[in-house]
Amino acid sequence: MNFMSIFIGAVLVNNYVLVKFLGICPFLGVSKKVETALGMGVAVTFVMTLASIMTYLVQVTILDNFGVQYLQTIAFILIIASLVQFVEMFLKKSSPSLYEALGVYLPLITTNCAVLGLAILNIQNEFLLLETIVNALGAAVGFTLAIVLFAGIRERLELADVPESLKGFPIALITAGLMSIAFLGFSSLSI
Amino acid sequence: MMKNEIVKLGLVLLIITSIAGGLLAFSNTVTADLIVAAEEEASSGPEVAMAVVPGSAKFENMDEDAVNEIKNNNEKFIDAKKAVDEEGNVVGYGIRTLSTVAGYGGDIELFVGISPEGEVVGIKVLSMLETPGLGTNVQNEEFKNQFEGKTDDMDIEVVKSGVSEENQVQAVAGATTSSSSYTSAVNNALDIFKEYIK
Amino acid sequence: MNLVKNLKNGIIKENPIFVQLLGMCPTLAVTTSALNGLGMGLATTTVLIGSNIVIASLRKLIPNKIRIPVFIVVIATFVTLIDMFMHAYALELYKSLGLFIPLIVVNCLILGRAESYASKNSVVPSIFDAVGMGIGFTIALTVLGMVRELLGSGSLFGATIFGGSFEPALIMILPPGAFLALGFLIGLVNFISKKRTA
Repeated sequence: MNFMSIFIGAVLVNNYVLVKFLGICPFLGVSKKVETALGMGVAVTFVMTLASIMTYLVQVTILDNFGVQYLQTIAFILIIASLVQFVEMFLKKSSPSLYEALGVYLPLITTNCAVLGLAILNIQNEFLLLETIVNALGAAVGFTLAIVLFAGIRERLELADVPESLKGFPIALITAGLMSIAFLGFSSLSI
Repeated sequence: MMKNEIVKLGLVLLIITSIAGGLLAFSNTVTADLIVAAEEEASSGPEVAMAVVPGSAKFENMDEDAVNEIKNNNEKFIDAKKAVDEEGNVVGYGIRTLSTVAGYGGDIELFVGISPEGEVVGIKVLSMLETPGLGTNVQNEEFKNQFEGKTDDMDIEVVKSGVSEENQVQAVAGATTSSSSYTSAVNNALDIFKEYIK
Repeated sequence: MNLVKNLKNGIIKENPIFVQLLGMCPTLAVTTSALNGLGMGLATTTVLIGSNIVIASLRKLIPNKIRIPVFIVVIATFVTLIDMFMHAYALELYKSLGLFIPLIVVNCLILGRAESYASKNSVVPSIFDAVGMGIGFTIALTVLGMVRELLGSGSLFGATIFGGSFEPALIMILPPGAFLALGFLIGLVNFISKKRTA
């Protein structure tokens, strides 16, 4: 598998949010404004890439070496949780404004199934380290793309006349459904 | 004081994680064999044998060296078994292989049942990740039955419409890629049978 | 009486999916059939009950500063146990649910209940809370699964409902269908609850 096909695959063909259903909670929760969505996308990109590298290394050097693959879930989620803690502390010192803007959503990256899902999929696909990094970047770009596009639409939706029962999450989900249909068009894309 | 606290907290976390790890290690020993058995059963148990080689009762292992030779020479090959009936007579062979041409979601894994004369008698899909409702229709009787009777000296071809030759099969509507992938696996199985088992 | 209230709370007033909107990822991903929805619901409920019991029992011993990592380890342990046992005893369902079994560990519902209830209440009420939330989650998943399976495959729990002339709306079992079905279901729930309070 070459790097281009892995990358495009993760961004478009198998978009993590609209096709694989990973990262839905932040997708629905942080997409009301384009700026916050973008900020979230950047933070997630950072965490996803680092987490992929670290989990890959742990899998190869510890889990596989000692035959304890069943400890994968515990090990991976602890790595991700610690990583998010560090990112939080780092952001607090280096970019307080971004830290404030992301608020409670930053620690929530831990429970973002896209990060853990990505880590597990990297191993399942039997990627090597470089392929893992490319896949992580692709997944992150795809996630950011989806969330920013969605935020753009939702900002407009605020001003639209939506039936009472559908206001809020229902119309957001239906919109996501339409976006998902659009992305289905990429499914025959192969490089 | 701060440092002491961190050490204490770290220790508590370590203890809890160790207990968790121990519990999982124990549970692993309990379930590991069961898992292997379940996977074996699902991929080459008696039910699979009966479905893939009609008239058989179960699969039996073939000569290990022979199987390894195939593995070394054919990278998509997974396993080969003899299908035997109640009395133990060989009534056919089952070849487990991946496709040589990828489908939408990667390789398709098939178990192909072949008669001793080299004719396809049954096929079972062991794993695939094709589009539900489209590519997954390769599992339908309509598509599958086209392969029955195809022999190992044919190179099966997929056509979109109008089957005119004996070695052609019609693709599932809207799922040519999946159909081609499936067919490539059948072809690989037939090639392996012809070269190593016959 | 309080315990029954816990149960009803999880099913209706604070239904994890229709009201709290937690655990979206598995909800959308595995509900391609009613059986998958039911299976995932039960698996998640088991983890929820297990983790609530352990966390409620140990709540006075867990140092506050490291409570989140401890919760995570406990939940991850139960998830791994469920993963192993499903692999050994329910292979078909295990393969259908795939990646989303280990992903139960990041289902905000479980961590949420640990943080907001089990760490502050004793074992028995925590069990009822878990059962209530679990049932609410399972019902929501099963309903969504039923809707998608009926419209997308013309069947219910694998049994064909509509005759051969029914052309299923394939989109329902593809990703867009998940978003659309859930969106309209939540809209329906909103509509009903507004009528009730009116």
